[in-house]
Amino acid sequence: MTRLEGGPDLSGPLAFVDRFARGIDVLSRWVIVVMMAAMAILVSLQVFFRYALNSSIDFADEASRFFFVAAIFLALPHGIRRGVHVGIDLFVNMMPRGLHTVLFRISAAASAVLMIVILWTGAIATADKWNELMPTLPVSAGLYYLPVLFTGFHGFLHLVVLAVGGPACMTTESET
Amino acid sequence: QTTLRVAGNFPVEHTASGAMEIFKERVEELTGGELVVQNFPAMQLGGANENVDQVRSGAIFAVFTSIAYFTRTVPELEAVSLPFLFESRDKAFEVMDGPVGTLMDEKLLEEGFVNLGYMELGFRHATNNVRPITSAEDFAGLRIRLQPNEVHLDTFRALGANPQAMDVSELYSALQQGVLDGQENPYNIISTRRFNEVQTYLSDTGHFFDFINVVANRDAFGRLSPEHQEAVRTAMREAVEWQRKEAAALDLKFRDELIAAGMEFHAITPEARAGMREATMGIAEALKSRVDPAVIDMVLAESVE
Amino acid sequence: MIWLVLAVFGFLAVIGMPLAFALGFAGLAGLQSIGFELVILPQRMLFAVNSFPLMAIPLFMLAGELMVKAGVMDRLITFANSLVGRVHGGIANVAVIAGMVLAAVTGAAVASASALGSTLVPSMRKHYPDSYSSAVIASAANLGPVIPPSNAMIVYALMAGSSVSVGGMFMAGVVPGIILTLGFMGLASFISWRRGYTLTGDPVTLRNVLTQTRRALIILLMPIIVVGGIVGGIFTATEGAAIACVYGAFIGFFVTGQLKLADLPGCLFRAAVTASMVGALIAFASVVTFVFTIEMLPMKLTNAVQALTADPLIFTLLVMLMLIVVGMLVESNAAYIMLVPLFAPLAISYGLDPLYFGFLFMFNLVIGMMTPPVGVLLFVMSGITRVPMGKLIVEVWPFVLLQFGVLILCLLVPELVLWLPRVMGF
Ligand code: NA
Ligand code: NA
Repeated sequence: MTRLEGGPDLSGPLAFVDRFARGIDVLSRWVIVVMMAAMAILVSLQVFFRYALNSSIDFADEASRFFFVAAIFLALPHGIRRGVHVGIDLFVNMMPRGLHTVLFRISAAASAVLMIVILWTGAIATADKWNELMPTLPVSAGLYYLPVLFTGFHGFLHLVVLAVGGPACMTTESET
Repeated sequence: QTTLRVAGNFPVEHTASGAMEIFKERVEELTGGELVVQNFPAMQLGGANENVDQVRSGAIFAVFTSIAYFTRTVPELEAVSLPFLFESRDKAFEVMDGPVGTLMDEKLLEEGFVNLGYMELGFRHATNNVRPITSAEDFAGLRIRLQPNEVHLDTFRALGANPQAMDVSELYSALQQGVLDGQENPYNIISTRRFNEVQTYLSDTGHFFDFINVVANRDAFGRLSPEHQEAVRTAMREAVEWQRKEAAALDLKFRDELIAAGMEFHAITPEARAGMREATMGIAEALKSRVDPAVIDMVLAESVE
Repeated sequence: MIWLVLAVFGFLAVIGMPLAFALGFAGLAGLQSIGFELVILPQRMLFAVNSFPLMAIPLFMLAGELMVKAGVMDRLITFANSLVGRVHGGIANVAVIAGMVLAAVTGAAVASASALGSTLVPSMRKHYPDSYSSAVIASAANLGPVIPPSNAMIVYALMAGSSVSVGGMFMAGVVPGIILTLGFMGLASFISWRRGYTLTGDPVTLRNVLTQTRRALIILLMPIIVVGGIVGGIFTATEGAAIACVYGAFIGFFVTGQLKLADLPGCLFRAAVTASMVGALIAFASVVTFVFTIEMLPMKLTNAVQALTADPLIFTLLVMLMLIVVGMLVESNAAYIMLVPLFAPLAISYGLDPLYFGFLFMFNLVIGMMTPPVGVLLFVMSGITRVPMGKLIVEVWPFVLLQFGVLILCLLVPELVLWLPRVMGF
């Protein structure tokens, strides 16, 4: 059994999914930190190269965009249970609590469907592009799609917890 | 009734977009409306990279764009992007309509693309804000924006310039603000993107000749009946023929417009061009590490014949 | 098809689904109904986000995170306090001035609101009710996207294409930003005086002003380097944002010494998560845009609007009215992404200056961040101070009205917007 902060006791398969999603949270957090740092450093270095060394790093644009895409899509699922992704809660707040919960579950379930479609079609897009190389780096351009696909997977896990567990599974912990 | 969706990154007024309108009319005529073509020029369905992905996945039927977007899938295409390769556009098309083109088409087919034809994007010319370019030495130290392509970057490095990769969407303001000294593009693009407003000197360096190819999804093309396939091929031949004539005629018109708009124009003499070719001789050899040397030798042989 | 997409989106949005996901789901329904392969979904998501100019957004967020950890808020507040502490609504004015300086070094209102809120509310609480403090801080934070650098301007310029440059937009915001700052200070003082809030702060002395200015100089220099560098053509907006991060880290490590290596992972991660909110909207909205493009919506809309009026002023007014409604209901980033590609070309066809129209468009949606029911800044402030939305709205409306007043002023006197960009050569 997993005890959520201020949330319900999860048990059985749901607790497993939740633990799994949180395990991925920990891993993905570190990847995001590295990607963000690499992006900031590479873009700054490009300016330094241009003015101080009067030259440029050919792959800087390419690589920094890759780090950016990776950071954004890997970070997207982290915002789901923190309520980072804004919505209109004016109308639901006027509804009775029971209905509110039902609508919350419907919306989480629909989002989970969206995520599973992203995972599935993202895998297809990755495979399709695998033979193409990035313009200035000798690595597959299919790598670009991996973070998108991963958003689908990671986001799906969190949304399943929300759809089954209800609003109480939204986390109240701070953003770090 | 089958709908063929075709995407491209050139503006509506560009000859390539015009050619695709001719293609549409002719296909619909030839198939009695059994095939319907929907054109989406001007990046309506996203940039060229994305369009290529859409074709590869079969989400749309075809894309028309610079062959540069296929060189990382079919590296052999880089052989026809070598600097100072073609003396004239006629020579360029002669090569692409011959055995070299057939070879490229086969390579594209292996990657799931049916090539339907080559149109003219044009000779690329350099502009800048520092000094007139009249010889290879004048490139020294210029910060010039190039497409992110190794052959292109190496060429300008060999000429002594300081090449920078930057998205074309940022280019205008980068030139305006002096982040970069110059850029290189066909006259048509220089004019339609209004780079003349932020650039002083123009030279007809003609360092690369760029092709536009129209590429369809192999499976989607294969699903068409043989008669429909033939109709698509025929319509495209006519469209390509029209485009090549039109583009050739417009090229000088665009150059003259740039001059009329105030750009200072300098023609490159044959001796100066020879000097630039000399300076970039090593590029073809270097490319042999990434592309089958036989293909490069074949292109080099065909282009001087 | 357009109606199906709108209906699905509307329904999901009303039942409280995050707007980004509601857009994605509606886009999915649209793709399905026009018979497109769903692989368009990941392709659109990737390519919509995969852009160098857009990278300025997480970088400016990171710069903000670093500066807060570096302890710049403390210096900013003492600096503002030395200038305007001893007037009616003194500490409210301090919040506005701190908000203005913070706006000149960071790009987002939400980040400013949490930085200002968490540092200022405790001392404001001694003199004002939380609802009033929240309204003042939300307004001060809303200077963030008006005064450069500005993520909202970056998104606008990106969606509008080559007709509007980021540097030009940045310069357009300076004069209106100053007018807004003065307006907020006047309004805050007036309300404090009317309600008889106690006078706060130390008397203003030249000596104190000089001391505090010297302490704050390292922060006040930053907009000159970052915004000046972007506008002056030393680097692009994205590069400027990276330089801002380097500068922020430099302040934190070597000037204040408050930033520690152990803080960095948290800063990097929070910046990514906040930026992913904008990224998710851009990614999913682009799927809807794709469906609309296939269905020729831009053309249909253009024809409909042009049939309605040929007068550029009436067109502008109609767009402004529409944006007030949109600003109430839709998160602003989602609105830029869906509407700018449609309206920026339309404005040009009416002969309007792209920069003028662009600034009004953006400013209107910026005000929308403070209008209920979807007002991101109201959510943030209510989160910090625990003031219920209803009470907050009562306090916020004079500040919202003031902003609309400045918007109308800019609409009637285009020079306020265009003078500085023209002088700077945009
Ligand atoms: Na700002
Ligand atoms: Na609002």
